Amino acid sequence: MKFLSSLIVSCLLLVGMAHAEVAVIVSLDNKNTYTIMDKELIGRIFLAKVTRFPDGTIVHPVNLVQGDDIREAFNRDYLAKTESQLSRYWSRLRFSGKASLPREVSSVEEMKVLIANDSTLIGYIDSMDVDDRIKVVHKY
Amino acid sequence: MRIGSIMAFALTVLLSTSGVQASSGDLNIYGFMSVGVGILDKDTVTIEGFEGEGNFKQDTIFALQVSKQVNDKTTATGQLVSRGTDDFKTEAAWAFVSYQATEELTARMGRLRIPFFYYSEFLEVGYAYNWVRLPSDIYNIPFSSFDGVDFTQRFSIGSLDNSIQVNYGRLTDDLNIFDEDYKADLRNIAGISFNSTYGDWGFRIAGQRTEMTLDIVADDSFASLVATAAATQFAYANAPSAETAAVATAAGQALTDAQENTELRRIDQARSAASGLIALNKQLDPEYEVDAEDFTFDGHEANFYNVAIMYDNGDYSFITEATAIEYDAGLLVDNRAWLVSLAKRFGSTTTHLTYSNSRDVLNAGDSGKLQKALKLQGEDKSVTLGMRYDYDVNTALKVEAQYHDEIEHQGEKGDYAMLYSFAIDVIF
Repeated sequence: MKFLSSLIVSCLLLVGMAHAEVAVIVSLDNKNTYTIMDKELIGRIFLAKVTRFPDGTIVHPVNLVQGDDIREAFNRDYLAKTESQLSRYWSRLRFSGKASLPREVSSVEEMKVLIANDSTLIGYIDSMDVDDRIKVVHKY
Repeated sequence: MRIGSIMAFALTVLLSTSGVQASSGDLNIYGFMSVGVGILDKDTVTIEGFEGEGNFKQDTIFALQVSKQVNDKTTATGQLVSRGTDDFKTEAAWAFVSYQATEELTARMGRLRIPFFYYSEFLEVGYAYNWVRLPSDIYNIPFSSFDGVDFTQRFSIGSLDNSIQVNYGRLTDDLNIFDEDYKADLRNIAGISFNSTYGDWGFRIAGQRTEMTLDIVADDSFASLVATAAATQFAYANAPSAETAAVATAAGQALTDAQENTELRRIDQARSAASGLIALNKQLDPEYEVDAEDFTFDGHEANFYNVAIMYDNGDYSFITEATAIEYDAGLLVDNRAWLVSLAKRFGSTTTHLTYSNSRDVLNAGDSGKLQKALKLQGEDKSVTLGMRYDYDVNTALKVEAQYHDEIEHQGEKGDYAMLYSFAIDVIF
């Protein structure tokens, strides 16, 4: 029975993790909306393959720190890469002087403040943390 | 890209630097390191620089990269590398100032890498690829850096993300060819490479050219020994007798003795032998189409072409890469090489299998016959099976077994061997 209950608990944990919904956010001044931003484009922005929003304005991605659950969900769902694969991806660009890593922030609050004040930035948070200071352009 | 635009670029960098207070950004320090050991199961051949027994030095490399954003658009970057193969002497693989003219256009000036191949610009960063080292059948051009400029323009068409990189510069350095050093001046290194990615797919096509001058020594007495040996053999073939045989044998012996005691390097010998043989052939056949200067290294052009296709969906990955090198100088033989590599990831472990092949292609006609006589050509193939384990996001452990067959080595039948390697690659 003890085994069964621990199995149920771990299943519940898995369900809980799967429900963490990622919200991709920009500032309120940003003219790009939900309808023109798709998952694939957001992935290309975070891999430094695309430098501009669909409306032509410059975009710079912002990551949460390594180890953050939402960052892991974002890596998996938007980039289809593990942290190690991303590390390898960036090592190629960094050591050939091609691109530097996206800026990183260590808290959701820091992310929201940063994004709210700069319309060139794009970031992501748990959809539960969304408030009226920022705008959601995609959810998954 | 003529001198004018280089000057304009330098001027732009200087102007933009002087206009802004240099304060933005911190000094960034990154690095990478590989330590490894390789064991070759034979001591009769040299494969990837290994010659039997355990060698801990060959794959060991340490590099530090320092960069500083000088202002909004300008960054200074240096990458210092010490290699076990160079007795850990430190060398700047990169040292450049980059200027970001627009979000999509970057110009760099200084010491840069030549983007010959897909992996060229990070060829020493073991962490960045699955292998312990890049397959030498393809990655065997004896130089990788140059001093000059490059410009990279990025653009997207729908979901297709592209970049075009053009480079121009020069390199004066020692080149290691057939395990010996030659002072080289490579002028007008110019190239273009085009890269595209679309979803999980990547594509690359590139070309480079340069004019090569090497400090090849032409030795007249060696040339005449070769010519005499060839002429006496020719005489014996035309009129076989005990007398002509003795003369030919004596001349052959004199040449062998000279070769054993010579200070001349491999290409010096080939250059000297070529001039002797060309002079002889011109005497015998007025139509002989090779000139002595075809077998020198005096500003002779070399052209390089590369195509690569990549696929990576996170679990399965694939790369195939093909190259062609054409030398105007007969002293290096044109080469065709290709590789195909497949990898499958299981969690933190990636298993990979690679086949690579390199084949020298002799010139047509008399020139090719002469190259064959000088024994400069080779052919290699290898099969590599390996495993990479990502211990954490900064560390990879690798084991590898490589079957390498030297089908032909400097015109002679070669040998095969197994090379077993283990390496630890870190980035920081």
